[in-house]
Amino acid sequence: MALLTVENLSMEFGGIRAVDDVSFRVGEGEIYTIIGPNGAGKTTIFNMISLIYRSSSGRIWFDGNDLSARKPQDLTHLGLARTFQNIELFEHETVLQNLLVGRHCHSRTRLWQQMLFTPATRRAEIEHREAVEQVIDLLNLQHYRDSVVGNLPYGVQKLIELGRALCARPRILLLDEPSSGLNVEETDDLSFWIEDIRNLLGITVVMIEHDMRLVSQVSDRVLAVSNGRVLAEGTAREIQENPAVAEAYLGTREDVA
Amino acid sequence: MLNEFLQLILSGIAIGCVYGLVALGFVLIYKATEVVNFAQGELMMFGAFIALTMGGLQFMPFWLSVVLAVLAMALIGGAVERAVIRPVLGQPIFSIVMITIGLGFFARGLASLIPGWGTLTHRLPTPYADQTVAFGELVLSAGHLMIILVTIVLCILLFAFFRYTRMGVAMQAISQNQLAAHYMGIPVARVNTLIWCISAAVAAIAGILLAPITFVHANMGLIGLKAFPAAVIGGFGSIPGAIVGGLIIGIVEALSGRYLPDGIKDVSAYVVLLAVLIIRPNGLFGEKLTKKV
Repeated sequence: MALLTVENLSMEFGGIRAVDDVSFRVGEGEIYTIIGPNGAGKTTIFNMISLIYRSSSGRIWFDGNDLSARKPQDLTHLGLARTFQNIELFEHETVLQNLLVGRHCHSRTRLWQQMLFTPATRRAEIEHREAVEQVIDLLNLQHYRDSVVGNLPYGVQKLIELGRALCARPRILLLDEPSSGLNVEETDDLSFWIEDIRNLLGITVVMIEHDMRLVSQVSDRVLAVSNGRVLAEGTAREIQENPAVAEAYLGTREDVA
Repeated sequence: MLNEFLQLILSGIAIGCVYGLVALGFVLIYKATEVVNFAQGELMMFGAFIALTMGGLQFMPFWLSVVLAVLAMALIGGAVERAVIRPVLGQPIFSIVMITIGLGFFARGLASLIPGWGTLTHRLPTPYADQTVAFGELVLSAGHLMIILVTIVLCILLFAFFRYTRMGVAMQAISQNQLAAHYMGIPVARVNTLIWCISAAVAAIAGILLAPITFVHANMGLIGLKAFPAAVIGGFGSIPGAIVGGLIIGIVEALSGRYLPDGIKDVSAYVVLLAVLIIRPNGLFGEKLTKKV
């Protein structure tokens, strides 16, 4: 039973078909990577899954729910979290506060209880803080706990965004180019974290990624897209040996000549 | 001499509180939605008129009519957001600002058409009218004292709301990053409507507080022209800044009305505004981090 099913998804902007009849399934507990040259439509696919764009045609199913009837703010309640290619954090707040906002969807106490800070609110706040501390420990963010996010280095911000998504305890995590802007060491750390997220937390991961070393290290399956269409699907090795994929990235012999 | 000075400061603080409350309305809406609502003063005027009409009903006790007027304005504020602002979100900010200015004119015209409101000046009967409270040598009218007390209570409530409640934190999140707020599970559109509700309710409170001092009339919303510099002085985006800005303008006006030549009082707010902007272009409480483009 697939956790995420994308069926015949298409997206048109004016006359341009950014995504053309794309279908794939991601099973529970998988690490699934989408690759493709720039402008292939990878982020558009993500934006359709996360309902920023409404697909021109096709369907998206997540855990038995048809997402076309939902709004972006419902996704975290359904168990879907994402990160962005260009970091989208609450820049004026500290790391801790950013991560705590990630717990927003799990907040259950009522307005008057919060205003008066009743024992129930206190207990809930302690639980949220504990959940956040677990994420801080997992990603080694202890140093930065009280730093304002806007002043931190790019690589750390990237990690905080990942952490904030994890704080929602999602069932599926969409990562849009998690390694972009990271150096080699940080990318190596990232590959361990992605595996930990799947193995320790049991979260299914779908990511868009360019770094083929990272892709080969962590991905169970890879989907290659180009010009909005699916080129091939398979293990990282199969994809790298696929002639159509090589052609999309490097061009044909005639192009070179 | 000293007593007169202190007396002026006190009444300046009271009027400054009203400026601050209207400025607060500007800031709340601007922070969350980046819309400058130039009809804020007119929301205040409507609040005062609704309280006047309700107070005119014989069976209605004063305090009940105040509560109902504030609730009614909250609903009107939310309705304005849904009907007028939400359809144009995403348009250039200039168009939205023009719409709010038009909304202000429309509201003033509408108020003068409503029977019982009209273009006349009305007196809002309050149980505390004509009473005074003495602090040693200083005398403060109950109306002024009420403004100061209500503003303090309202600020404490708003502080607790934004600092401790889930909804308040959601509003802060939206003001910093709407896109991310969606994916934290925050219903952004609904929260924006709620911000307009709060902002209109605060404006109504300001109007009702101001009514015993300036009376109720269709043009009382022009006080927005004083509240706007107050918001800018405070940094346009800072809630304590709005109140402090209002207090500064209130006090400067009160003092310049007494000690400086005629007419200076009316421009003093703008002189202060220019002076503050020259020294601190981001306002007194302005945020240093700028938005990335």
